[in-house]
Amino acid sequence: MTLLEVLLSGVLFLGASAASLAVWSGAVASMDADARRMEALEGLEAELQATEIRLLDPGLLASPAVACGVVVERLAMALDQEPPVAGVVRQIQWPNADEPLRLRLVAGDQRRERAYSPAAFGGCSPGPPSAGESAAPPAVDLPTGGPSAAAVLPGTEGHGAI
Amino acid sequence: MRSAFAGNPIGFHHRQKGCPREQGFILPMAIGSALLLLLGSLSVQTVALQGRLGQASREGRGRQEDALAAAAQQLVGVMNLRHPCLLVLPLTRWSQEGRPCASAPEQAALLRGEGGGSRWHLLDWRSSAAGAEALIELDSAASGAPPRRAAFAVALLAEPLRAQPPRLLGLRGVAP
Repeated sequence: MTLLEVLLSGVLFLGASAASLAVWSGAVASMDADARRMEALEGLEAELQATEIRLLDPGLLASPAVACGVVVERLAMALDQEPPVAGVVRQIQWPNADEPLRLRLVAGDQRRERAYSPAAFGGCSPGPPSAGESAAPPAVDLPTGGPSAAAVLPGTEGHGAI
Repeated sequence: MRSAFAGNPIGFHHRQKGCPREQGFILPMAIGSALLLLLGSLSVQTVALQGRLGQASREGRGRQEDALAAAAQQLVGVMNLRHPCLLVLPLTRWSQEGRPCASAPEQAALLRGEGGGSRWHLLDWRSSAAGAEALIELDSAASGAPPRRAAFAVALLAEPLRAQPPRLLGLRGVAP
């Protein structure tokens, strides 16, 4: 065994150790970020499932006699009825009565977007609600303490508690 | 030409003719250890990359699911608004029996749509007494990804004839 052999072995081993450490460190950081993203995705998925369940409410079903503006307001109220899952920010937006209502859920750098057409909920008549129509459907029992209409104003973004 | 270490003035051991196993065992051991370390770290990196790929796939699936759900809402919304008679007809009978409530151009417009940055087309509409089922596919020519399709169940209501919101039955692959 010569000094050259020992030096060469040491350099080789140290180099390999440093490279290995760097790769391990990068992999662990990547897995950590993936775990956070996965958690965000699961939160979004849970919130979407809860949303879909809320939209199954038969009280949301309209008919061609109801103005689309009324239906879209009912949908917005139903979507914003409960606070979102922890870590998820909910944004509800609709440009006008005949446009689909857009639901955007954001968690970290992940997001999901759904569009709900008011006419898909049993049909409606195009246009905003007339003076006599109310957004609150008679068959739906909205809980007290729910979001105020101001939280989901048309053309703006409202969100529930983070 | 003499080697710089020929005299081995500071060698740890003198070379021993009778003991060949002790000669140069450190270098192979270091090479072996280095290879093991690198292989181990590469395995960890592979696991991390696989996790990343799985997550990217899940994110893509979520985006496609959102686009398909929006397409189904758009389709059922238009059918409820303008062509409710088509709700009870299978797609194969639209061109004949669906003419009274939807002209050929209107039917063609129903078969394709765009929303949320995605283009889609209706592959099939099956209707029965229990309800209807829509099969929608996203156009993927722009992205180059394989086409993704989804089936939606649509419950129907009578008096007046109209559809309830579509329910996603599941994403489907490229081929049925």
